[in-house]
Amino acid sequence: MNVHAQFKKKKSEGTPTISTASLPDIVFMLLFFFMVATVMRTTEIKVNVSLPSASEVKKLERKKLVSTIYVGVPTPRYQKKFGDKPVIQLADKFATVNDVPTFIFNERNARKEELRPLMITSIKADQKVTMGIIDDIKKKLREVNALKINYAVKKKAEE
Amino acid sequence: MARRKLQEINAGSMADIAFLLLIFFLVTTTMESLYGIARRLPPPPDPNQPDKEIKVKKRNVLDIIISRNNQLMIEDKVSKFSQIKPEVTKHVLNFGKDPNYAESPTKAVVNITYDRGTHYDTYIKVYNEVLRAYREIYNQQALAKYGKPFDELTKEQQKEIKDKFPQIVAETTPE
Repeated sequence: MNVHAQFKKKKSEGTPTISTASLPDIVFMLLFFFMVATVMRTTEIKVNVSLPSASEVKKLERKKLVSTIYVGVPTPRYQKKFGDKPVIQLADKFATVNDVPTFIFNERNARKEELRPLMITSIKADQKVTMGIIDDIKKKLREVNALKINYAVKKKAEE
Repeated sequence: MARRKLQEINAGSMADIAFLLLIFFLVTTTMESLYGIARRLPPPPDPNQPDKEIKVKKRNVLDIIISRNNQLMIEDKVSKFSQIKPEVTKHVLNFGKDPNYAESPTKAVVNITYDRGTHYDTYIKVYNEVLRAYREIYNQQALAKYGKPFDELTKEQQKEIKDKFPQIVAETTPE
């Protein structure tokens, strides 16, 4: 009798609706996670960069200390104006090697005095770029004493 | 009575608003972490002092040349990329045995010569192989001495090994 009653009761209710009251909480949790994890991209990358891969890599921890030099072929949008040869992009402008020292000085001035010796210059160059352009950049960096450099690569597992 | 009516605000649209924001942040997020090969450039030459030629014995230098056609030569012999690691290991861990290789690990220099036409990815590949050889040496030493892989050692222990087997990698470009 008892069993029968229970069975009957369930049936009469039909499929129970799932409470969506906690949905906003879940979504907010995800939202906060992404808000905290987001680093807004400040510079528009105007060159195509497909990084070479390497296994002996170090992770760049303090992104605030990193100034990036992009090297690659301009994206199709800019090819008419800037050609299809590899170029250098500093901040969000196309530049030549001679602009590198000024760029480094600007980057230094934008940071606190005590952080300046810790600054790292990251070279994000396309894998098809030739070493000539990289070498020129390295020479300029040496001239202005920006000696800590980092070749940006894709991390790959050891074969 | 009017107060009681105000008490409940419909929270049904809250989820929609939150979703909207969530999707916005999902789209704008760049989760990539930056990885790279860290390197220190040599300091700029001092204009007050004329170039001091650093004399290094020929046997202490392992020459790796990458030509403009991305061909590899180790000690003037055409080689494969897979040969870099064993050659570097042999060079560093020679301890003066073979007269063509380094006298001691602290004196061993790896010299990478590249051309202006060398591809960047070839250069990175070669550099990576050299670093790989060194990492393997560090790991061997760490296992032999402390019975642990290199990454699990303390900072001091790592430094001790690194000082014994310093990574001296020089770079030259033919003018």
